[in-house]
Amino acid sequence: MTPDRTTPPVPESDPAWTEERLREGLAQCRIAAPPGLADRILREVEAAPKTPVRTWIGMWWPARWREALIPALAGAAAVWLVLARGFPGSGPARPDDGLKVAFELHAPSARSVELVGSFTEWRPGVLRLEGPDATGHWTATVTLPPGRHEYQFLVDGREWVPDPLAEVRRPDGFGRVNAVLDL
Amino acid sequence: MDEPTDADLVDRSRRGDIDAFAELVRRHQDRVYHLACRMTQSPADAADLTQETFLRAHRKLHRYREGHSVGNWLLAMCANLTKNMFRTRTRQRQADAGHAEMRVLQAPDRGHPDRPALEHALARLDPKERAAVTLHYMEGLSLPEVAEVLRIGLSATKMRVHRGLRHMQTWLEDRS
Repeated sequence: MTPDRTTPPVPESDPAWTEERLREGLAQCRIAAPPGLADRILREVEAAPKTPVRTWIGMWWPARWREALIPALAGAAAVWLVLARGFPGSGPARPDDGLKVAFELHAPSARSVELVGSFTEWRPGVLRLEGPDATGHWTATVTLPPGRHEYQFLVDGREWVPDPLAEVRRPDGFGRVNAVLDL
Repeated sequence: MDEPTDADLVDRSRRGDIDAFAELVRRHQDRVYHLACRMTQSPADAADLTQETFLRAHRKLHRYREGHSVGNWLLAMCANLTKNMFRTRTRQRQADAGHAEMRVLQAPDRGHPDRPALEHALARLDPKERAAVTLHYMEGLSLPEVAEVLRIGLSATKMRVHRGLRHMQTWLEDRS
């Protein structure tokens, strides 16, 4: 067998269990995934909420440009903010563009409730509701920019619940329903 | 017609082609599952971690860097998720000092004659050494690739592989 220069030498105190025998034996001990695992994974992938914005960006931004583009865009945004607002002290500050929105879910037996939506890039773990209060309600107040937002509640980290108080809802294409909020 | 490369499949998956992502799952599920199985010594945990690895990969397709190995990218994600799982469970079990146990994966009835002994020796290894041995000797990754997947330095990788193998040799000699 050709020695692998990158592999550290192993003392051969007992020829019965040489590195070669170990290597050959270990190569035979691989464990294959159980049948049906791929189907289970794909079902979960299709049921998972999409991340449309990031996916869209990833599709059109070549990876090698991405690291340079993000600081460049951040710099451009900073310049735009300075020009749009004027330099500090040059005029009255404009009111914040964000709008405060109160979210509420009645879930007295839940251990945790999260708000997951387009404004979190559909990532859980970003916005947690507080509760439950004495009446079993979970609440959160979030500042959102104007525009259309879609969201769901994630209860106990596994159950997706559409907002029962939402006036507008739409199917998310994966068998669930998103609440729609137009600000 | 030429078989699409992994990078082609990632590109098509980014554009919403679920069949392309299914092909990626079929190509890489065995390696990801094997690493998770060796790190956790639990087929049930390994199946969950494999599923979570591919779910996360699907969400983070935009973060895959062209030119890198898709297989190693998935293995790195799996190793990271497994480490996180260990951290969570360690916190949960801090009060329970006697929970340590050695789990040996069930060897198939027919297979390599050394397999039962090797499975016992692998099970006795420290999980960090077992992960390094698995990736280098069983999955065929070079030492720099193992270092990249486990997010550790090259010298630490060499040490884990070397120690892992030496420990296995010692135990196997004692056994025989």
